[in-house]
Amino acid sequence: MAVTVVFKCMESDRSESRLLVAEVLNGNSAVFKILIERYQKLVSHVVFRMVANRSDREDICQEVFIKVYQNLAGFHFESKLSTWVAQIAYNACINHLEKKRLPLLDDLHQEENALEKYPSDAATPDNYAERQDITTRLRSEIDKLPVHFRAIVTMYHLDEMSYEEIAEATGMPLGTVKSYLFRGRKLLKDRLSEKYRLEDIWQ
Amino acid sequence: MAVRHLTDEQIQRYLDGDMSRDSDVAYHLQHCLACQQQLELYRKVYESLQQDVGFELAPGFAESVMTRLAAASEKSSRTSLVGLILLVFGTIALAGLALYFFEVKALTEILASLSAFGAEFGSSFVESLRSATASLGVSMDIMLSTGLILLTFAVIDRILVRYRGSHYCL
Repeated sequence: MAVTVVFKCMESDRSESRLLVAEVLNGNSAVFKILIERYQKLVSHVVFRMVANRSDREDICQEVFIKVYQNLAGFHFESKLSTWVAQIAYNACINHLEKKRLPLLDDLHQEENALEKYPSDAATPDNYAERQDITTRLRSEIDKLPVHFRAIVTMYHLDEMSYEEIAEATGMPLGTVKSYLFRGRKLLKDRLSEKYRLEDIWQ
Repeated sequence: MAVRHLTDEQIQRYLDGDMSRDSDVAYHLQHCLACQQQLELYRKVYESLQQDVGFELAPGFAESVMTRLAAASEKSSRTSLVGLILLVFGTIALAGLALYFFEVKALTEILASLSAFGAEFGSSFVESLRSATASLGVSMDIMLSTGLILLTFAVIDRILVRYRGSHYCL
């Protein structure tokens, strides 16, 4: 059954999503597995980037899909299904962080302060191996960004979401999304130029 | 004349593809070493942001979610059954009490005017309820409060099912 549904609707992504959702709502809950497989990358990107605690991540991802299932009847394709799933994932992470009383840095002023305190060990690495692995180093720098920055750069770069889609998923104004994205990347670039000599990068 | 370098935003937008058709930016990048170096730094940043590494969920993730969903829906169908039972018993208890407190004769007359069967049913129902209550020795207060509590539970249950979906017990 699930397989025929998939074959039936190869024309466009959106109409395919519509058919899959309709199937699930008609009681064919096995089709929901296709939706999980389709969006588990997106959900894991958002959750893994926003939640530092490894043991919580998988559980949150599961809860996201349970919420998707429970609220599917209320989704009427006002946005793309992927945007809606990303929104549920983002909100689940924010709720989790709030419950754990981890700093969210919601207002901009606080965010600015956090950036000043943003850890930077300006010492240039003299270790050859360390110099080699710029990308690994940068990944750990990404993890040090404030949580909203991490969410936005991830949605933009890994999930290819537009500014508008990110604004919808996070509930932030479009201008804030753009500003966080640009500032987040600039911050990473600054860290990179602090830590590495130009010739390490310039190859 | 002082050289005006590209801003961070211009370089980022160039890499995003927003400004690739802007010939001024492209021209500047061709001729300015400082901006080329900035561009190169940003390229590294973009590369690492696009690396899809370290996001692996446990194998069988989808199955685990499906198992959790199946368990939840089983639980919820049990809860709806409980809700239904509460509703039925609550209504019967309250209907019985209403009949008892109001003028029994007046009610049986109304039922009688509807049909002969109604009269028979009405009076026999009231009588059996009265005799059952009397034989059990249950006070009317207890009956009334039990009926109300059952009905309240039933109503809450219905509301939860309606507004939070059929799997609210999760």
